[in-house]
Amino acid sequence: MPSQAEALYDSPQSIPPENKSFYQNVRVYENQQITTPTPDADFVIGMRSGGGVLSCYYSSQPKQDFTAQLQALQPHYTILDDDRTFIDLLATEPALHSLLIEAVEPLQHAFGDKRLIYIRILSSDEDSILKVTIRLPANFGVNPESALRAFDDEWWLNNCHRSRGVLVFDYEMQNAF
Amino acid sequence: MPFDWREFLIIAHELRNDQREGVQRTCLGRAYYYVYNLGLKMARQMNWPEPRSSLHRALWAWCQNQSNTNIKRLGMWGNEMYAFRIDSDYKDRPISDPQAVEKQLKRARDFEVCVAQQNKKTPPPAL
Repeated sequence: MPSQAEALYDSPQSIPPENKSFYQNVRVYENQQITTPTPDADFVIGMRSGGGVLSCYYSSQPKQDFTAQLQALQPHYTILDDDRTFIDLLATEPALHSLLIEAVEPLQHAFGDKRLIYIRILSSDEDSILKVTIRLPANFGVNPESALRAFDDEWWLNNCHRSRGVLVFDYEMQNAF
Repeated sequence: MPFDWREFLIIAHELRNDQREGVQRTCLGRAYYYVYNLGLKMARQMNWPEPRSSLHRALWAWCQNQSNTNIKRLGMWGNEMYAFRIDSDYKDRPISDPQAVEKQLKRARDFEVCVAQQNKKTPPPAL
């Protein structure tokens, strides 16, 4: 009597024929290498073994380096969450990185240069949003609410639709009381 | 008679000067739920394709996707207020913004005025 494992491998395989219409990364075959996808290889959308060939199916989306995206944001923003959590959000929300980079200049225009701008992920039991907060000195001068609305009018109003509701901008006064 | 969501805003106004943290958090949450329900009603009247989950974020994202500038603004303000609501109801770290309640109440007022304008109605009196 075969063992449970043998029975599993001896059982007839019902793998459908290879679908040639899928895009395949030809370099896998040119290099004659079979590579095991790493956990961050999220561009692999399917694999199967059959007839001695390991086939990999790839989506057309190129792999993005979210660590590099994070590093590009760090000169401008103080990120209060751990890198892994933040990178996960960048991966889930593809427009986020470009929005944050593009926002730097209009934020500086509305609130001035060299402000501390910090980012925090806020999660409820339903969803997560990313809050960008500009820290302002108590003697900021201009009404900060007006400055935020000027930022909205100058840039955010025309770009908020790209964020899928994930991004929020606000300010916070230092030593307000 | 359906419940008037503005009672939440009235309560938040009445409690705004009570410095107990639990009360301040309650103000942030109640003011938010007032605008959330106003926004929800407007969106449903405009045949918003309501999702089954993540209603809050989806509502404000839908507003931000509209071509009407007034509705886009509602989406921006609603999301700003939603951020305070998450902080107040889900995070035990102290609310870092000492002006949070003041901002939340002002934005709730701006929101209700904008909704009234959108519906071609007179806004309710300021509190």
